[in-house]
Amino acid sequence: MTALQGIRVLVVEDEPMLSLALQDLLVDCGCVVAGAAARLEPALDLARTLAFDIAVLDANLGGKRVDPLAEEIAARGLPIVFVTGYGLDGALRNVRAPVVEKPYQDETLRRAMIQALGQRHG
Amino acid sequence: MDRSGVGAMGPPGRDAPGDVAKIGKAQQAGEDQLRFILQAGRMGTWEWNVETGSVCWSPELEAIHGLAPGAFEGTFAAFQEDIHPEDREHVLRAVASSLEQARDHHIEYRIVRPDRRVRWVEGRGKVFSGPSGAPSRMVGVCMDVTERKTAEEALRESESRFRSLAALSSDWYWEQDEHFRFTDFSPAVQDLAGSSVASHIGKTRWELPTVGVTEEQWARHRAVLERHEPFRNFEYCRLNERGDTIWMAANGDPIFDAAGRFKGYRGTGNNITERRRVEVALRESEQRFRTMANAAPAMLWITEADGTASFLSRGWYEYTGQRGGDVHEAGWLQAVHPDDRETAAGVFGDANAERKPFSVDYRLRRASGDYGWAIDAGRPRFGADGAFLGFIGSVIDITERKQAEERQKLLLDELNHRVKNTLAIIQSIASQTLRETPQPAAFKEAFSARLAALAGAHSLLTKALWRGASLRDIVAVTLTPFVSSSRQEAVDIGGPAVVIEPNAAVTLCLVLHELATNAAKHGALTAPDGRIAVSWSRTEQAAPQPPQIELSWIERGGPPAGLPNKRGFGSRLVAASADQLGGEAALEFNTRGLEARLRFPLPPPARQ
Repeated sequence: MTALQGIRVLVVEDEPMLSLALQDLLVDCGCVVAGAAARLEPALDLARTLAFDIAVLDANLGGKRVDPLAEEIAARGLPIVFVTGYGLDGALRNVRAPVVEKPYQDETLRRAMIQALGQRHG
Repeated sequence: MDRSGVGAMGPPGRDAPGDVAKIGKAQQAGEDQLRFILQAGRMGTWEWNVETGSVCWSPELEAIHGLAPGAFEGTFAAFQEDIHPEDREHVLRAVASSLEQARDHHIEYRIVRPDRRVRWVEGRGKVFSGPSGAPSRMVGVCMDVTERKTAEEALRESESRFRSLAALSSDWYWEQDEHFRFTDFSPAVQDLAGSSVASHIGKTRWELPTVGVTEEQWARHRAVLERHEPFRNFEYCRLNERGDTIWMAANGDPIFDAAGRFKGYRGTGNNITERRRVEVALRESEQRFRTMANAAPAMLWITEADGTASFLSRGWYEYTGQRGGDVHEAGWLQAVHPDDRETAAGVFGDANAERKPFSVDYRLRRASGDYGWAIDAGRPRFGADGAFLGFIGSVIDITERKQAEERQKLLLDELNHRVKNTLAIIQSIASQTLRETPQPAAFKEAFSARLAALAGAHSLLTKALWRGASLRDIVAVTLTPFVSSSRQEAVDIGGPAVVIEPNAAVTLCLVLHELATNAAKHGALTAPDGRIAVSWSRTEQAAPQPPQIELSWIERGGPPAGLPNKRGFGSRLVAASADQLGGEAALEFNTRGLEARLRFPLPPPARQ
């Protein structure tokens, strides 16, 4: 669990129950939840202003795709992990990032985050 | 042999005596003239003295019999020898009867010449009586009529040939006089058309009982007859003597005599009733097929052996907007979507070559210009003799089916998404519950209650086909498990009609469940007189802002609310839910009881 120790994470997930579980998981992994949003507009504000190391994004927020958000984060050179309930088709086209399908196991998400962080650093 | 008297028509040897020289001269001149006429007419004369039995022939008669002048023996027996054996008896009887009754005779018979050639002779004879009253002499004229006889024979033969040819090529023949009245009809008409020959004779065609021929048709036919022109296949319908209607077709040629005078018509006729019946049946069958083809919901088509289209039902033209001229040969392909054209032409071409049934889907252009999906299926046609005739098939618009398939795929995708999402929520509930209550018994109770709340939300949404749920139902369903039947008044629910979209409805169910659980454990529902008021208001906003909903949860009559635990699951869920809804939440823990307020814009209803 040390791989993610102290990593600051932006959580974007519109389903309250999932968001809470995800945040708890991240804390368990040693991460810091730098910020959480459930809607596109607040998430965009956080993506521009917040200090974080990686974003875990639900690919679909209340029926809206998160492309603008992902592009914003990618433009800052920060890694992303997508979480989707729509299968792999739910992944974004313009931004290369690991995709985790809901429901996921804790370990799956952790590895995806390590992979995303590694790609960014490598 | 004395021939002086031969040739004179008067009884020789009966001249009165007188100025013999004078008379003889005149007589000589007359005889010369007569002889000339007889020679020109190839006529011979004879005289038979019945009493003496001597017979005198003129040289012309000897020539007719093929004898040199003076070669005739001069006996009746010699004449008898010359007669053709088949005619001999009939000649002798005529002569005998002529003698007996002292009457003239007129006979035709054949003779056989010394060179074996047969000639026809026409002879007339006259009987003269002697003083006793008994026949004493007979004189006569003979003429060679072989040529006339041959011509007559040829005519008879030609006539009979015509009739047998007519009989072979048609059902019957007929003849009409110059007034178009039937003068002859072959008996076959009785058997083949049920009308006797007699019923025709003396009548024109239009005087016979007919049906189904208009005045105009008769007028045209009669005009042809009046012009004495040939006619072919004049079709008319007769009512025969049995009352049956018989369709006939007549062919006729005008007859003219040697002088070019019109003498009538001659021709043939046929009973075409069966042909007409078949034609009518075929036309009806064809008509029936077209009516059916044009009324059918499918578009029907027929192609010929070479693959070219020969029939497309009205449906095709109405669907594609093509016109009759557009579909010739492979013109129908132009209505097929350009991307599907090659496939359609290939499938059809292969099927045509292999003469096997086929089925192909393609997009078909509508008259409006947009495309619908169609399925085109065909089967080969074979004639009675097994010959390949082409294909017959149908085109059915399956746009709705295709759209339904696409809709179904979308629905399945959506269902798959919802199931995964729901599983993810359950997973989260499980992990959150486990953090809060790790003891198995407590975990089981809390986890089951939260699952039930989630299930309640799903039931409400399923009833409304996942379009949304009313806020009142959401509140009522979630609180029901917490209110005992004897304490219905413990909960008061009130507010305007508001429909909540599915995701928000699930969230509200889970939030209300957490509040109710808290009330049942620590709040108003623990006291006998505790009450909860759940109410909401709806405030319209200036467009395009959606209406604002304010939901409040107020507990009274219970113990004072404890200090809020900001890290508690309920508090966090309320806050996260407000985030999801784009609104804000407030929790007040005071001495009168818990007060919770959730303000959020009413999300637009789910699209479906």
